[in-house]
Amino acid sequence: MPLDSIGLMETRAGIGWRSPHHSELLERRPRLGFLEVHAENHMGGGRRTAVLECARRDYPVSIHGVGLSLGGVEPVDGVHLDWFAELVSATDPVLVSEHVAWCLQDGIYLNDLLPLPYTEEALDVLTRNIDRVQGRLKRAILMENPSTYLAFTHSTIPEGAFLAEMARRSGCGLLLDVNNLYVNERNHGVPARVVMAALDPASVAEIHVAGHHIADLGDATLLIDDHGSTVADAVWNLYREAILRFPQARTLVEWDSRIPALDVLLNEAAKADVHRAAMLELRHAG
Amino acid sequence: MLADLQRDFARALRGDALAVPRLGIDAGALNAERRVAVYRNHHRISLAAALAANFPTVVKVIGEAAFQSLALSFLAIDPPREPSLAAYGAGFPAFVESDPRSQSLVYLGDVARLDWALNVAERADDLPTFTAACLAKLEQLEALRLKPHPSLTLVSSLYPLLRIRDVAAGLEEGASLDDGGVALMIWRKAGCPTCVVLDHAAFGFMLALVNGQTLAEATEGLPPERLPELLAQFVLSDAFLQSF
Repeated sequence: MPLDSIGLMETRAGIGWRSPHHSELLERRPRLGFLEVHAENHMGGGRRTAVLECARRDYPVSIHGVGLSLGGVEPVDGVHLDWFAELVSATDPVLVSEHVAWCLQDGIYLNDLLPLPYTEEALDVLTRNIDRVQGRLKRAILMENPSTYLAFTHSTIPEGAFLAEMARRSGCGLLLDVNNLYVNERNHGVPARVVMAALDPASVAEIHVAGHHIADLGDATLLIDDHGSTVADAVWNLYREAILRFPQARTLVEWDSRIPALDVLLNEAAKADVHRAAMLELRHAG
Repeated sequence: MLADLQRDFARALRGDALAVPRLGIDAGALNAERRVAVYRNHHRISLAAALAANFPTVVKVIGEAAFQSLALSFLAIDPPREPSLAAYGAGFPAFVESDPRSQSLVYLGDVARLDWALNVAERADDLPTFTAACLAKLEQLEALRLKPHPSLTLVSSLYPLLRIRDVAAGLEEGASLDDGGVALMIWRKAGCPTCVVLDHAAFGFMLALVNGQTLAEATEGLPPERLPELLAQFVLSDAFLQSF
């Protein structure tokens, strides 16, 4: 069967909807698969909301939450969730996603995607919170695997099995960030390919690629997931393998710090398209 | 228990080193404290950067290093309680005013108020505003009580805030505190954050309306010929809500 006939080739990579690029994107309208909107950047009204409405006319969008704290023991903030649901309703996104992480404690937003131990209790918490969000939105969401700089001694479940079980129990899909897999492989020795192999191929609906920073700490190095540079070759290699496993997944290039000229980001998205097309052809031929 | 771990992690992020050993971190090549420090640094730096984005004039007046120092102290006592970082910093102007480091810059708290008012004007919810059509439907104009649009802030200062802002932006060479104070109305007009200088009478009029007084009470003592101008410029310009 020709690849085009099943729609896989038509889906170009997307990029993030970031304020330095708003005007240029609306003016040039480059060919992109979609724009990813960080939900919490669009709380309230005013120009940002108006500009997002303009973008929505030209591109599909995905809504990417960064603050619902779905790995948190503290209940999901109902006001925040109501607002999130309104944004989803207003933008009719192709995808909605959040993170396997937490950020809310005693009503304080800690502004980070904080790590969870991989335990039955954490699975229960995630399942409860994902259920609540999916029930409110009346649609399945995707959950993104985190990058981490520490692991817990009381984790009892391997990362891949944890993600797969979370998806199975809650009915959510997965947003597989291959840069995060690579960062974790280098930081903790968790092989990225082992994590990917543990996942149900049908559950992965989106893939993120991004740049990272290699921090030299003197006696050790630590990879920091800063989304502030081009995608590393090793991450592109993992991406190619991920496309073979998850051909239906949409791709997004993330770039959130030291945001470059739009053309730099478009070039990264074009690279993703080339890698993806090559892997889909290979998969089709094989 | 996950609840204990998250409580201790939050404490460790906010500087409690005694909480780190309780987290059960698999140290490996880096010890637990250094691993937690990666998160702690991001927590602090990212929130200080968020505050800097919300208070650009304060940053320009005192410089990035001094701002970072103030921001970290503020974060320790008034961390974010809303998911949107654009909404972080409502208490910062009062903090700046009371902090000993800014005592020599007596106007800095008011500069922060101006920044915050512009921030609020930028991001306040979109709600239907009071228009000329609403006014035309009223039978008793004098009894009108209005509710301010959430984008509206009135700032009254003993210092020349706009000149200070222009000097900080490099648009003017210098400002003297002898230039005197200023009263400002800041809101979102036709979709754009707007800042206008009010004279004494206009400020009193707007303050009365914002505080819930009737139009008759707000115009008490004003020359009658000013009412049409005040209505057109300030009341019928997206500053008040349609429902009241």
